[in-house]
Amino acid sequence: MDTGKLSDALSQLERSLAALWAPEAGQPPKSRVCTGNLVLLTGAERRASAQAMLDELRASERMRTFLVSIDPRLPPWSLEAGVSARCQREGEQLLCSERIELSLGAGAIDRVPSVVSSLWVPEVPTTFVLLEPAPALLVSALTRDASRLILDSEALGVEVSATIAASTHAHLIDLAWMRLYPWRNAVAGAFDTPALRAAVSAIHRLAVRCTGPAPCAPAARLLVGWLASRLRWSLQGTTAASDAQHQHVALQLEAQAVDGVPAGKLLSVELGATFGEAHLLLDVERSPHTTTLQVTRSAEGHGASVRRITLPEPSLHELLDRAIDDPTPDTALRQTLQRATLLTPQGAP
Amino acid sequence: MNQVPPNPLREGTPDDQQTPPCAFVIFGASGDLTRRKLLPALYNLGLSRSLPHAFSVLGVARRPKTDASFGEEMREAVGKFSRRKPLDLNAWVPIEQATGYVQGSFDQAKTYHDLRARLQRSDAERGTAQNRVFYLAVAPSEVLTIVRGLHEVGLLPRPSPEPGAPFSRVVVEKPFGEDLPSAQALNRELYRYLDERQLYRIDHYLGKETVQNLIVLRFGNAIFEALWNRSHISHVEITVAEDIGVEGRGKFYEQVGITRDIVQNHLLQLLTITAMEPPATLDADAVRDEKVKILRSLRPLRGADVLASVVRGQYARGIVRGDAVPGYREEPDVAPASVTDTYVAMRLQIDSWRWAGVPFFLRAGKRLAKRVAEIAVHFRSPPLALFGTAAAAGRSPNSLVLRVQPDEGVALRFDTKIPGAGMAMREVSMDFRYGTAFGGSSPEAYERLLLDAMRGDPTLFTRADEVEAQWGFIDPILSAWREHGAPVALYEAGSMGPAEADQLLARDGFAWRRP
Repeated sequence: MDTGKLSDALSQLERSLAALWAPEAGQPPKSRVCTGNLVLLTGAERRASAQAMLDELRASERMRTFLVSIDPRLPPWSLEAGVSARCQREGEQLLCSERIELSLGAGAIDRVPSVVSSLWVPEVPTTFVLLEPAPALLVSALTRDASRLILDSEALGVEVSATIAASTHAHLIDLAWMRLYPWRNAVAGAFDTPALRAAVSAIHRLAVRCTGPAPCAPAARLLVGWLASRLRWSLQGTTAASDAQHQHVALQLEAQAVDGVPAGKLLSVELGATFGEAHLLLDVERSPHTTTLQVTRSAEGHGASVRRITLPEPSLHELLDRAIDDPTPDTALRQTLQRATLLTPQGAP
Repeated sequence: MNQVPPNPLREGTPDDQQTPPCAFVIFGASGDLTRRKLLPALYNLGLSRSLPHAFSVLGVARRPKTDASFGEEMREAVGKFSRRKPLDLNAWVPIEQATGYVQGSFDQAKTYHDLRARLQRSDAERGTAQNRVFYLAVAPSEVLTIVRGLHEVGLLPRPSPEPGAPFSRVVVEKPFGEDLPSAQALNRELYRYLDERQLYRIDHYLGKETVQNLIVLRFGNAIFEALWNRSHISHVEITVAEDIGVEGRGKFYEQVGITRDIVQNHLLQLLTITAMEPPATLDADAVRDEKVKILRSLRPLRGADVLASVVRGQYARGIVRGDAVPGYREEPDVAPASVTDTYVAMRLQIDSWRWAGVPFFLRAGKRLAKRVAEIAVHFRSPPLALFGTAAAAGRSPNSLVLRVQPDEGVALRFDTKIPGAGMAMREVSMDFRYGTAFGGSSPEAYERLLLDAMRGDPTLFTRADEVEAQWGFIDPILSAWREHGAPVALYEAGSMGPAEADQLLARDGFAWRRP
């Protein structure tokens, strides 16, 4: 078997890295800024957009950034690499961070972790970013050494994300979960009023609509999984659950095709609860072509309220910057992902 | 009172904050502090999802305003002064909707009755659970009037030992008294209506990241604490420099001076955190006990000692950041022969096993070359000058500089060999900057402190005995200046202080760090 030899290419890469710091005539001295390693895995076809995203990423100004792709067009055991420095002038000096771009042939997949770990800066945290499907072997090896794992279950799917989440103790962040925040906040906010607190344990109906074609888009599943994990519901397929008091909860996940709106976006969340003699209805709805959420709540004896929330639409690099700086592990996320995997039509594997 | 269980949909997420429901009441709501600091801090807490979910803000002031006009004003102020821009309406609108205004004079009972009614409404409509934080952004002379007014309408019940019982806390801005007798009298008066546990004396320096980080740096890292004593440290400098002058507040400054305005509180707080022993726990009283011990270990400066160890200065005209500026005595409302201190430098000694023989040099000044606050810990020189460099000249190459503002961070300086033949040395610096390491801007001091007041953590607030110990140290200095007619050393605006301050260090063989 041709095992190839990547170490020569690596040595060359290390020399190029060292050369970045050589003084340049007429330029102020350079200081390296490195508070962590950031490893972004991408497919060869998305490489250009990933580069553009990294150019915008604020965090890459202070981390050694790796852009790693497996390129089937390359000879199987080859490694193509490039290094560059991103510098900002601060007073008398240049503060610079490094970017390392690695493209490996398909035969070298199992060597990627070795290549990356030989180049990352020790003693600082490593963040691994996975925004698209990648070979499981590679993901598992890179995840093992990461202190922070950022994934996007909207792109990877709930099952894959839950499997990855279960395999690591790293600080886990899901961009789809972050995008869901305004929805979660709107639903949770309905029960902040002390007088309506009891209703949260008495939800008997939940309907979630998203843009089609599939009714079980990750966003919808995360939302139901979140409610199920917080309220200790047992999920029974996609149509029913039983709550902590073993009462029936009717579930409905629907899809609706909407022109001009990509599939898998949440359109509405409706829930009903009966507490004591009173009924509470909550409707959180997004108009398909706007960025506004309308939250309508009515409860007998407590009047009705309508409020509108502007849905933030952060770009990928803005979301990623927030994820990289997020200080607090979100303990609800792992439980949510685990519950969301149970949302398969009854009888499905 | 029946406790409502927490909202389970807020549990286990970053939204699951420890901040209990509460109404935040600002007296002096028309003032600059409210616009520039308090509301922007509350907004940023909202943006970080740290505000309680059941929350309201009530402004109290004399000027006629409606809830809506006050809310609009605050929206504009937050848009202008928030560290994070542009204004995120998703975070701001819920705060504005929870904002109200009570118009009234602080010395009229009606104001407090109106306020009580608004708070009851807030409890019913917003679930603020009879928890209140009263922030007194007012002149010191109005503090007692307000506390008495709140007490008389039953808004300041003494704290209950029951867990989860409603709380009422009062946050008071500096100055806390103008000397030791007045601070003691104020404490005595306040205790008639309040418990010490309800009083939060704010010194915003304690909310700054670097100041809190000093505790982590010292007690969370074994390498520094092992060196943090007389065997390894030669001296410590603490600097709070401003490039601005008295900014039209000549009348105020004539009565106060920088020693009362900055040294008695900010500088002595920085000193205590730098020098204190490790507390047994991070409990508020454990930390503050250690700080008080340092204040009590300060060798008193009295009479002629003051003239030898303290330099009083005042700025003369000069050039600051490229602009010609007048001298202090040329400022409006300042006496032509004023001896008010706009600069002070002092050499202090802490009589403890850890610090015996290590001088602490403190300086604070207005109209200096730049705005900077920092603590510089200078280590001793190597015992043998092998390389014939700084150490040979008696100067240590090693110092640890904690920058409090601007550009918060830590720098460690040491000598290194210049590559090549021979043994030439050069000083280099390992630099840690909050902004670079953690991205974005650090939270403003007020954000941390307002949150702590809502959460009931007084660690970063000044306790009564601390305030009294601070005045107990400062009063004799002010007396000695008066009694001995201490000279006022003039310094050129835009410099780093008078030559006399340089001589203060030179006597020990040191020189001020140029920040």
